[in-house]
Amino acid sequence: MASNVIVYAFLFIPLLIVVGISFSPTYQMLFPPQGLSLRWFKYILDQKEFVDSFYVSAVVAFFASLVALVIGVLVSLAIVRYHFRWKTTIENIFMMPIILPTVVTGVAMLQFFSIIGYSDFWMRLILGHIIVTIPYTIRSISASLYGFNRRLEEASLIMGANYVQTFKNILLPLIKPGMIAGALLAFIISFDNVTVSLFLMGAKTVTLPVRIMLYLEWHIDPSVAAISTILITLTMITIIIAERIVGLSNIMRIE
Amino acid sequence: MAFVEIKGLKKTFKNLVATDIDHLEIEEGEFVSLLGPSGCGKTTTLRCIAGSIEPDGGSIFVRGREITHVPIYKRKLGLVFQDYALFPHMTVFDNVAYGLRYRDISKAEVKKKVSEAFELVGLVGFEDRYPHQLSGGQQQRIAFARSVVYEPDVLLLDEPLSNLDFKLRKAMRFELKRMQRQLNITTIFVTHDQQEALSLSDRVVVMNEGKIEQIGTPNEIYENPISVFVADFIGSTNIIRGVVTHCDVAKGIYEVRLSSSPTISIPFKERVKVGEEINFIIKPEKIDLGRTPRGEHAVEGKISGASYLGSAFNYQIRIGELKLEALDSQVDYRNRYEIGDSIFLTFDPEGVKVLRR
Amino acid sequence: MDLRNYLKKRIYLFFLVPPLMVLTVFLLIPLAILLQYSFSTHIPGQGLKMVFTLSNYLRFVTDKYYLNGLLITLGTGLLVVIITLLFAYPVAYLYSKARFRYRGLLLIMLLSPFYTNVIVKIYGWMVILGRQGIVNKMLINYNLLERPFEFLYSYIGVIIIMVYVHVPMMTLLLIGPIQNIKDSWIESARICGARNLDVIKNIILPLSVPGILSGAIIVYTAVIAAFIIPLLVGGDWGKRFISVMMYTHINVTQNWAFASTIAVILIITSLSIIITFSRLVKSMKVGVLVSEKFNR
Repeated sequence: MASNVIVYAFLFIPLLIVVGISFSPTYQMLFPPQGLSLRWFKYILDQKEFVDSFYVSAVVAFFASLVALVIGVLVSLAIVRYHFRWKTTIENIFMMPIILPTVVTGVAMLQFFSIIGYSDFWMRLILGHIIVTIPYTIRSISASLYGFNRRLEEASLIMGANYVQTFKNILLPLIKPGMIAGALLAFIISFDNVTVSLFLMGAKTVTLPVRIMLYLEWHIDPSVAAISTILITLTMITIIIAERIVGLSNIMRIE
Repeated sequence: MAFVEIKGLKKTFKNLVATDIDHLEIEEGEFVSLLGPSGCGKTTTLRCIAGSIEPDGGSIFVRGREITHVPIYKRKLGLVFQDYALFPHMTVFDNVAYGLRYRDISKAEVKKKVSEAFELVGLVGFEDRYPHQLSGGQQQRIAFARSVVYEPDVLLLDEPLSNLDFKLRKAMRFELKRMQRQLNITTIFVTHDQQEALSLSDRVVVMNEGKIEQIGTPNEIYENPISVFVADFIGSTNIIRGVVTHCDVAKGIYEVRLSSSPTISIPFKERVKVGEEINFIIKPEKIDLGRTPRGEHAVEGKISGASYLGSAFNYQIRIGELKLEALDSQVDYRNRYEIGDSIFLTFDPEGVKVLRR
Repeated sequence: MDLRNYLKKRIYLFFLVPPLMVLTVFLLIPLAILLQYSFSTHIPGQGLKMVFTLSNYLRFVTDKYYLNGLLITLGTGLLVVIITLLFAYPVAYLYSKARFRYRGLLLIMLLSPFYTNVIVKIYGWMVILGRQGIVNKMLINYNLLERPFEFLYSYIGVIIIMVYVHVPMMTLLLIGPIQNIKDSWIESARICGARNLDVIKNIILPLSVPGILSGAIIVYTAVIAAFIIPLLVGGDWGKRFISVMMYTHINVTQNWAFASTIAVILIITSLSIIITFSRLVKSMKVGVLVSEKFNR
């Protein structure tokens, strides 16, 4: 169907242009670029701010997705395997960060931290990102958990393994796809997050997307393109690795 | 005390009584089947023994030790599931070795026992495969191997052959029996397939609605069912209700007036009282058919259905409103009976049994 | 013995308590504070005064500026969702019906927008739509325009970029429901003599409606909550978006009270829409689910 081609083109072309521009030899953002040069890549690597922000984003994303993963496992276990009166309410509460507008989350958390006077910006960022990514890890892990055959646990128990051993040897390995997919999704979402980072960051803890945003207020040049190209490549590599380990359909939960 | 003893086991789900067993004893090395239709409580009972379900009341003893409240992983039992439940992320070898990990056994010893298990089930050489690489029958055998490798006190099997196709199922039956005999392991086998139960078991426990209907050897169950339910469930049986109207004790002949059809005379060997309302059964193969009456007490009927089974003919016969099934293994195709034919039935007195329940 | 059993059954509590604590402290309590703030007053120069007042809400509903802002936000949401649907549906359809070999490739292409973050996407469009951008340059070259047209900071720019950002998600949301439309149904319709257009009209579209609606709801709530896009490329129009209005009140006037009020109004609006339309979809889905049962 022709419409498909149009849409795919629509989606792809801006990215292509960005990548193309990143190799531009001049200040001009021409597409196709008038030559190939790596000067902009060198440029951004020299900018301390960009490098620092990359580091900030990476660290925050790492810890946030880790904690979100653990929370995801705990909550999924409770939701999938047990039934209790307030289950639906609890499920909805944990899904709130997705339902709420991100701005609201950001503002609310900012107010909260101001009131209690908590000024550790690293932690503020990490906590904010944890909240924002929790629904994704929960979704991913519970999907894996629903498909888990409980008889495998029974078999393990009857053969002599206790509950902890069964959890470690049988359950955990088999929900690995959900866990990995969830963690990766959380990482990407955290890394790319702008809104919450904008509200919760401090002068020394500017995340990369926000840094780019600030940069763009005053300059428009191919340096942003260079950063984008790097980010695109990194994300693509991550997704490919994830696909190898887990299967892409698992990540997106479609066939 | 018997090897396995179950007393007063009760389990209720919401308002449904799943299991209500007064007393069940199983001897060491016995192969006992729990047989019954879906929902009769056989699986619930099995899972209570396994420990997956906590009973509401009663006690279970194995080797004289009460295991009713012992956690699953301390019970030393084996369980084979209908869907095998092999661990997909481990090789078949690791699957079988799993049960040995949690007992104090050296690695060399583990390897030895696992190899023996593989030999027992006839799958030597498959150790490094993964479950999904094996066929259904092979998976079944691995499931068996891993349940017996740690020498459990009792082996529990939950409809293990139900997922196999017909031919494989019959083959596996022999295998299962052979392996059980070789290990001499006490076995409890749950099934809804009465052929399976009859061919495999030392004793059969027929269950219905949570309760035990009858316990006996396969032969006893088949020949002497004690209730309508058991008679109906095991094999094809004709069940006839009626009121006794007349007795000829000398000849042992009773006349029975049937609830909805003419009076017929039936010879049976048990004592009944005139006026008593009874159920009695007669197996299709114990009804003799002939175009002319044979013997004094032949009853006349009409053929209302005929199926050619190759090795026998299955006839449906109407006597008034009563429908009876007869199995005629004297296959003379050219002289077979056809629908509408008049026929005379003779009942073998040995084959007529009175049901008290 | 009984205590152990009691605990065993309640073990899920152990699983839930730590996460719940985290969520409560860092989300629920802040939200409660937000709610409280929305009823407070702001004293310029001094900050917040903790009284209970509805003045903020009154201000919002009586001031045309804010009401129009709400309208603009909601209306834009609708527009974006419709256009996104038009783009996403064919793609989702093709993906669902594609044969296995091509699916991997399609999926990777579909996911491409996930490789990038919002800022990068905006940057890309800035390059394309900016005054010195590609589109303008082309239009001038072909003499269709005399001076560069300010695509970016206009309403059009906002729409284009919002659609761009949300098409991938909408597509993913549509794939599931479309896959539920069994090929056999379409085939039997064709066998009965229906032509392509009829098949689309009578079978595919009606059966897609619940899926379309659920996808639309999710994307709609995302769009009305949009913040970055209107902020960066919205220009004057952008300022009228609710989220941006909230941000302005925080950044510029430091009026946390009113900002909180806007936040609460935004939440209420989103929630009402989600709840109403979810119910609608649920009641529609019954029909589809029944036929699903037949096919199992």
